[in-house]
Amino acid sequence: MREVWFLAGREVKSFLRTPLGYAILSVYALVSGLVFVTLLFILRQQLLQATPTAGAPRPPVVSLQLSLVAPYFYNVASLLLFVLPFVTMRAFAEERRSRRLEMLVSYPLRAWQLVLGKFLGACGFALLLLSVTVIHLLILALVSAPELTAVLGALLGLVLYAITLVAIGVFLSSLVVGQVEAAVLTLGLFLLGAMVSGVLRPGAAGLGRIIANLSPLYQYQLLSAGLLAPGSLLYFPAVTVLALALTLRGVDLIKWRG
Amino acid sequence: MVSVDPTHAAPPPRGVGETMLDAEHLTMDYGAVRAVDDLSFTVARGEIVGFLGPNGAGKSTAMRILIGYQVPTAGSVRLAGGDIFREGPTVKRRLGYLPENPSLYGEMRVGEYLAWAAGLKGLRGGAREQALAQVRERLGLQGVWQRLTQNLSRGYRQRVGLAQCLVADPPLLILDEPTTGLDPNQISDLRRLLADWREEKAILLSTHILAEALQLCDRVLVLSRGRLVASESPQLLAGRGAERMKTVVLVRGRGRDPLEGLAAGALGAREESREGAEALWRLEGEMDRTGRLALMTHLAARGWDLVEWSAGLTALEQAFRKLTLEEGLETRRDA
Repeated sequence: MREVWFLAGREVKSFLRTPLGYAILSVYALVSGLVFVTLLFILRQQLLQATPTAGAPRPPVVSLQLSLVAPYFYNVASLLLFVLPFVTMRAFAEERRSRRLEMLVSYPLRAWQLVLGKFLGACGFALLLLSVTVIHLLILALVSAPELTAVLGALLGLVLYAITLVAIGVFLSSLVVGQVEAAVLTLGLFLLGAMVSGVLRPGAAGLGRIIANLSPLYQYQLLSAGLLAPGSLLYFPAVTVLALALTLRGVDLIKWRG
Repeated sequence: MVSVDPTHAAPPPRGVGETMLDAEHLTMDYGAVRAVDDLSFTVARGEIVGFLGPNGAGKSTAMRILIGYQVPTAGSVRLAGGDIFREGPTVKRRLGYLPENPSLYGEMRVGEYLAWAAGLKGLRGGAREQALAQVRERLGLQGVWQRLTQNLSRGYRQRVGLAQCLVADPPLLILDEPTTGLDPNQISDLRRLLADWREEKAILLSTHILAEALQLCDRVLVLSRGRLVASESPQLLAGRGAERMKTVVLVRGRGRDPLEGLAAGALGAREESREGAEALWRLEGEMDRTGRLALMTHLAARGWDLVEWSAGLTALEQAFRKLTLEEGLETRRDA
């Protein structure tokens, strides 16, 4: 297992020492920060409108959860669809292009160690991105009183969701040569999944419903909305394990295809 | 057709130890294209084996199979007695591999990168520190130990690549074009290092530079269109090409014709320039070793001054061209 940590540690350090890592971190912090501030302003507006005035009808109650927490998490989850392909693109695709994978394969490593090391490294950086979100939530906790269990549930769901996206991205990276190809493939599939799910979900039945339910973003919405259906809870670990198993197969395929 | 039966290939030279690499009947097909065709050979401790072949001969594919990166369509690779595909992680502890133009992680410092590689190769604690100290000294990396690998010169990058290859002190080294892109001083340093390791290791060395093979290798394997067409000492191989060689000689003297009195055969003589009684002659033609010796003796005996002596190709180059081109022609004819 030490070898896995060697691999994962190097991956995380690599993000923290290259412009790519800082670019990804900056984009995530900037966009998620803008979302947070915008939602705060909208909430402030709603609160002002909800202040009861003499003689006026009683205004609707403003929910912090519905007005800020839920849309914030949904937007951040959507943002991850755009950002994480750039985190996972290098995992195998760039190693193959640069022929570093040949060097790694010549080392006394098992394929699962290689896959797990790359996966955990990308997960480590993805969690670092989510630490920006934790800062936003701490600010929120300082200025208001959000429902702690709902926020923590949504955050845990976001972590599971990000890990699943990373696993899918690492798998797709094992199928192509070159980081640009991997990023385009992953981004394309993530967006396609989100769009298909969005189009099919309303009133879909049969196969359409199954396809719609396969979207990680949809499953995350269910989880963050507090709908703790067993299917949604099992979805993320199951897809993660499946993606890692497929990555192992993908690495095996490299051996057969060269 | 030029081909080598592996069972009749030249045996390893005397003084070599246990077999460290044993490739048996390796075949690799990419669809209808056969990149490696029934390749068999061994490399033993104590010898440097050169892996030669023109571009597209299948060397890189073969090397990828040998390190376990690619599964062959048929055949097996035994590394230090164990099957590379079945016992990979165990037997790979005894392997050091340097790909052509090794790509390092540019954001890592040299020492950090090598410590990481040593960790992946199973070295821990004191053993790792000791191994790092050894490669640092052996490869002269003290001055660049704290430098980012992306800021290294081509030569130092190659050295760091070699250091990662050597850090766990493996008995088998597989080196793909290790001198590519190095300046003459760096090439000379690297050749000295390889010569130093000859006694203790088995080294398979892929190279385009035939002089390097002649100088370093105990045995060369020539690959053409995926097939092994020669497996013998470079000196013996050079002997094959030494039969006829295009030779150009410039001589100066006062005689009428430098070739007068010599059975010169296909050799022609042409007067290039004249200053009074003294003329510069150009002698040109294909000659074998005996013919060249006879010509030299003749010119010296008749008092001709040798201005220039050049051969179009070295003997090893000729043998290489002969083997790889003939094989190519045969293959096309068969097809």
